[in-house]
Amino acid sequence: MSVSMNAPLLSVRDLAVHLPVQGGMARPVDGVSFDIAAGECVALLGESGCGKSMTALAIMRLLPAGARIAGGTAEFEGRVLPTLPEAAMREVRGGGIGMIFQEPGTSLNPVLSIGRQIGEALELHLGLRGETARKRAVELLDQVGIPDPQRRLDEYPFQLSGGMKQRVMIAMALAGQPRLLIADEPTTALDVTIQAQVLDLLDGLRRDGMALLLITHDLGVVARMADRVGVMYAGQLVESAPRKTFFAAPAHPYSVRLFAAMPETAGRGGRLATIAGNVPAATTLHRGCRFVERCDRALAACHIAPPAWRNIEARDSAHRVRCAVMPCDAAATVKVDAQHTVVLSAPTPLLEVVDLKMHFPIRSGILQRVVGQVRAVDGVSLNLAAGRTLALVGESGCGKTTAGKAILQLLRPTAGSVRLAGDVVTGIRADVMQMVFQDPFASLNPRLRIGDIIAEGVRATAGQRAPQRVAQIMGQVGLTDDMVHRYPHEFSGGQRQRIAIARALAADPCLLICDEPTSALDVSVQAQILNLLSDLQRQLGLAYLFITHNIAVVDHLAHEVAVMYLGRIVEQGSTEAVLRDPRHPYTQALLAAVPRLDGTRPETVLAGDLPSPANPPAGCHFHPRCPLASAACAGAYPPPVHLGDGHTVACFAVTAHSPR
Amino acid sequence: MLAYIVRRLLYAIPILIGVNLITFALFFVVNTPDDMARMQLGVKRVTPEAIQKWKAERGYDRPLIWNAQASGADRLTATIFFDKSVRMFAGDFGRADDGRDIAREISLRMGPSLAIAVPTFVLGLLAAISFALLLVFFRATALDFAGVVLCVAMMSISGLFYIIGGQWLVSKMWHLVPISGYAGGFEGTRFLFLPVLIGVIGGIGGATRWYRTIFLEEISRDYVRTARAKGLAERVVLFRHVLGNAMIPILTGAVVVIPSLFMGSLLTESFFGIPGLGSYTIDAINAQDFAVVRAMVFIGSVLYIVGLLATDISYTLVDPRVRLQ
Repeated sequence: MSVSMNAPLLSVRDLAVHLPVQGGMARPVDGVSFDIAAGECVALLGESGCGKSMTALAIMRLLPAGARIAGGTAEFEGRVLPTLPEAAMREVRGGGIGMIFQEPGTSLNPVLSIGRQIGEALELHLGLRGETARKRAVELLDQVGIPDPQRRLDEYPFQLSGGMKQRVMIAMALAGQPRLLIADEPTTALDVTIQAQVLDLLDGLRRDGMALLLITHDLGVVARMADRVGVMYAGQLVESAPRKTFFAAPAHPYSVRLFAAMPETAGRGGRLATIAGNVPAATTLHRGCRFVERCDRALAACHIAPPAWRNIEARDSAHRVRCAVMPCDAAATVKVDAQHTVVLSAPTPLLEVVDLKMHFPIRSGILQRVVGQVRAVDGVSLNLAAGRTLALVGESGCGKTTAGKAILQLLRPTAGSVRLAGDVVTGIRADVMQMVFQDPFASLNPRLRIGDIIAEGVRATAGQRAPQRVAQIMGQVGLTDDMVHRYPHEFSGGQRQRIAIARALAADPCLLICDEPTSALDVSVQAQILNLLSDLQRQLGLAYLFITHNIAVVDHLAHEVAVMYLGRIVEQGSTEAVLRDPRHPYTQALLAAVPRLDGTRPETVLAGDLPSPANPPAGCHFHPRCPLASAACAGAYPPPVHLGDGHTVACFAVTAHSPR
Repeated sequence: MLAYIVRRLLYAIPILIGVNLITFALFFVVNTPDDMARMQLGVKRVTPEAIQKWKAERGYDRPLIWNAQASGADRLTATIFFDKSVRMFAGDFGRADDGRDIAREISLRMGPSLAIAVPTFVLGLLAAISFALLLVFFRATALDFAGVVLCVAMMSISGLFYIIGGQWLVSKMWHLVPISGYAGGFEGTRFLFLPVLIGVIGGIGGATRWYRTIFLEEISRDYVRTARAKGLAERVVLFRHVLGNAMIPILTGAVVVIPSLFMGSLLTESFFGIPGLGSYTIDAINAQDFAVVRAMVFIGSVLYIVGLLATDISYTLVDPRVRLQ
């Protein structure tokens, strides 16, 4: 598969992982082969449960308890990894192949200092100790772009931000001077501006000659980073191609549908293509193609025998696909009805939020006196009309979730007013406002049957008609009647989010506050939930306050956007205005940082981290990171500038008539 | 940190008053001052006059908690509760019913109690942690399984069996050490050997099982995977990474009991005839000597509160994330 003349750095052949589970043998990796040449970046792309992380862990021989390599091999620099003695394998780990993981927050040891954790890798692989090790650790931290590395060495992981922790992880992985770095979802837990910084860093390392095996579900990250792409489905690679050819024309029906499910590709307000059915269970014994049950182009032959690898010669000899039907044409296969959301004219405000503030006291001393305030939300004003969607966008820690809770009165606001259809809201109004939370696994009571979860909300408003109403709501969100008596753990993530939406709808509200409702879900499942939300809005005239960091989802779903930074709204207006013609430097940087499917890189990457809301920078909160900052910016917070059509920007550099 | 300790010590005052009130109420619900006098005087000499005299001599002729006849502050202070319980805050424990000074008695009996309790605690902790680490190193093997079965068996057997069985086997059959008794100084070690050994064996089953669970929980965490991905040997991963983090929950259970070691063990001291605070308390309960019971409960509460505070402070030593304020 490799086009390189030399032997590949890593060569994986027919790798299989078996894991005994209740009711059979799971095969999370089932015959995976690929090569990585020195200095090359190969991306393994796939949704959760497809076996991409297991493949990486099998190469490193770090499989979870019970799982074992059941077949195939992986050869790294001439060493056959599955049969290597454990002592020699430890040389490879960290010394030949470094690895970084998805959650920098939990992947560093909380009770050892940064210097100690880097130092143990230096001692193990390079034999460095004491002052020399410390000097090298400082160099490594410097290399990954950590300011003031001398001081950071003696700090602990909890003292660093998420982006910093991921840099420390990378520095740790680099300590043993590996030739290959395996990055397992390295930026999934990070904010988009921080993601851009980390991707830049990884890209720089690759240019310096390090090979990269990138494991991700994010097509944007693949487009930005990879030389070659391998698409995984149900434990197997189904397509392998150079990045350019893959993004120009994905060949496998699964790849095609994955693209179509991206909110970026559907256009505003359109319906997203979804993939029917679910990924087959890892215990399934397959006879034919693994995707056949969900494929709309399947032939009779697809059910009988697994498809062989085929070259797509017409395009590129390196583009190979495991499909009997291909090549299929992306545009022709996915039919999406371009049904647009009905936009109500002359909107009257349903929700009016004026100067909302949510401050949390910081206490200290023997008497626990208040010594300061965390200004999580510091003067937010919003308007939302019935049947419309307002997106509240920002990075983690900007206060968007707190704002949502304060509007709902789950938290009592420090100041400001919330009006609903003209009435001032002072307590929880479950009958008109409901919330859908981010994590459908944690937000449903595991001990209640889903019928009871939904009925709880119904009882508050509908009284005796509860059973019929529960059935009706379950129908609306695409759940069937027979699911009433089941418990949340029996459902997939997407179904659970449907249950959470049903629970919210049970009280018959007119406003749903959706807090990152799709960020825990796979792209194809996200598409189903976004479609469901648009359908419900059309049928029931619901208004949504959509709290998210995902710009593509905003672009797809929202009518209006408010961009939040450190407790305040910096830019607000119609989606068209804010996303196509962003005027605030933060909005511009945020949009630029989103990885694009065409693989273009942002011209400027925002430096630094989000400051603490307990101690925000004086004047405009954004000025220390702002490319346009002037002396005035440190002096006072800029008042909003109105640009017409409700587009407002809080920035001194923007004037009502200034050219873009 | 200092502010935190001061605040916690201030919180302790209402807790201790509450503990005193409850002990006081419990004792006098089942036992009136008249009952105490009858018990002390013995059946033959009980006359109403003798009871009154006994009560007056020891201050039990006052109202329990509220003196309606007195005026001003005396309404609260001229009561049994104030006289007997509140004084303990000043370190005045009064006298036992046999006339001995309780404070002096406690200082004499503390030594024997500590001589048993401290070695039992330290050796037990070390043995349980080592045993648990061994099981975790061989996790999911037959050795691990056998170890867990052994632990469950050992914690299912009553502590009395270990004491009686140990005395019979070690002392009676093998004649290694005396069956019971106590002596001070180096000579005393032969009396300590058996109770300490039995204390360690009796506690090891439950503690090992608990520590093993803590270790297994830590070992499945992401940072352990990171440590292995660096190429560290399993031994290093276990000792440097897992042990350090597992010490946090282990400390919660261990440090809190350290001050309470002063109180001694009721069971062990009674069976081995150790003149410590544990047997002192048991004897006082049997003799319905309220003064001693009250003093021991009060000291127990103080030591427990000190233990909780010490736990919080020890967190700052093992967990850099914890800052007390």
